[in-house]
Amino acid sequence: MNPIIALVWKDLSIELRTRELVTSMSLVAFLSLVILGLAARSTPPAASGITPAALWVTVAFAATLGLARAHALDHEREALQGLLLTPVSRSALFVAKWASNLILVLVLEAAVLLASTALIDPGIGRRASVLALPLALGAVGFTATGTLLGAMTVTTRLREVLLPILLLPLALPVIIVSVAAIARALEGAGVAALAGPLKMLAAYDVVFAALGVWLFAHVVEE
Amino acid sequence: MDRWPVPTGAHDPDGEGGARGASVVAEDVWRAFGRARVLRGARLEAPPGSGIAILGPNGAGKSTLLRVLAALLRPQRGRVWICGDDPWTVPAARRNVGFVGHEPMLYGGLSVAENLRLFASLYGLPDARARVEAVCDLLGIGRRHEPVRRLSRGMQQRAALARALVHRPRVLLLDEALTGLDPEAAQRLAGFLAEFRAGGGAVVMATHSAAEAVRVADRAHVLAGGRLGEAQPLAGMDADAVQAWYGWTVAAGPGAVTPASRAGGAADRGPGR
Repeated sequence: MNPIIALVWKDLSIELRTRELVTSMSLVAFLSLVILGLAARSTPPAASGITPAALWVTVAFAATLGLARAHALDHEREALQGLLLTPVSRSALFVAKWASNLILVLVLEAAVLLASTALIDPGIGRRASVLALPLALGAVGFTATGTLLGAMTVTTRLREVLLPILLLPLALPVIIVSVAAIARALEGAGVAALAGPLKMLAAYDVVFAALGVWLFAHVVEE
Repeated sequence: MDRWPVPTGAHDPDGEGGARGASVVAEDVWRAFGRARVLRGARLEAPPGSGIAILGPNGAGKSTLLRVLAALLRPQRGRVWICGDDPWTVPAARRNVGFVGHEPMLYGGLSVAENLRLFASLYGLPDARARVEAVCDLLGIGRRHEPVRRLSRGMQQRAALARALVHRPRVLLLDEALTGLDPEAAQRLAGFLAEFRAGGGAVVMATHSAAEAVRVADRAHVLAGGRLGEAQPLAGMDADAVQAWYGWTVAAGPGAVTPASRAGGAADRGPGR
């Protein structure tokens, strides 16, 4: 079996058994959406404007929580050290962890789209196919950055605090561009009209994926 | 216990480390953490079939030395050769190393068999399932389909040894590997290590127990204050003699010439005897 596929299988198998990450991320996301939904209903004129931001605030905080925990699992019983003993390249280890994190965040985003249709804006469900693009491309860059920073912060005592402090500012460009694209999609823009922001998201994704592949070895080996 | 096969074959004939035919060579290895110099110019050579004990008090740097030999930590100065290759420039050299540390280095949410199949995949073994079954049978791991986190400390230690052996390495690096095992399991492991060495494998074991050193190794080094002393042959020495030599060397400093080596061997049994 290809090492990357074997490593992704490992992460997903553990998650399918424990459902630890999906459960904690979904719970945080649901609570966040309930609060945002109630706040939006109490100020109706602002309600329509908060939807794109509400989606990303929910995804960003819930995903950050999941990323921190996903990396902590690699450090229990020094499992990551076992992987580092093998001849598998550190780049492959990064790509595998990134792919696992991305799958989890994509599942989270699907759940957030469903829940926010019910709790915040019924229009989200009707535009879900278009909204999925900026959300998914945003998730690619967000998880690439989060995977690298998660590996950097996991050995620190304050990892749960440090990861969001470092990740959210670095991921801000991807969040802003994705929110703008989601806003235009909710106004009725098609995929062609979103080409500009989607290209910017893809460029961010490429840059942070390359940085992750390049820097991961330095992060995990020292 | 059946003999676990140790791969043979010519070591890299052009490699600087391989020219001496040693399984493990450490040359002038330095390593610090912040301002703390943990290793200062460590030199070590483990030929095929040898058993080397690294004796040292807690915090002496034994684990750091083994992690450097296993290519988990990069030396800041000096080099390490595994079967003739530098594992930092030739990743395939890592196939020749099995490492057992304080922690099992396994995923608690997966069973022993799943963990071992994962590692077999990462080592590129074509016959992963058969290898996993064979190594579990060899080490007497019956509960191989239970999650690692539910296993006792001793069984996790056996699983860790299985992880270190599944790819049939030529070198076993053991960091206090007998600690936490019941006497029967420790005896079984010592027997296995003798078989491993008889098959041409090299064992380097960190310990603070003279009895463990005598049981597993034919030579010992003392590591104290970041300095690794010269090798002391253990032939003819019992645990008490090794303990006396170890205590004297730690007190005098690993660079000092021991009475045993000055007198021409182990027969003198060190100071105070």
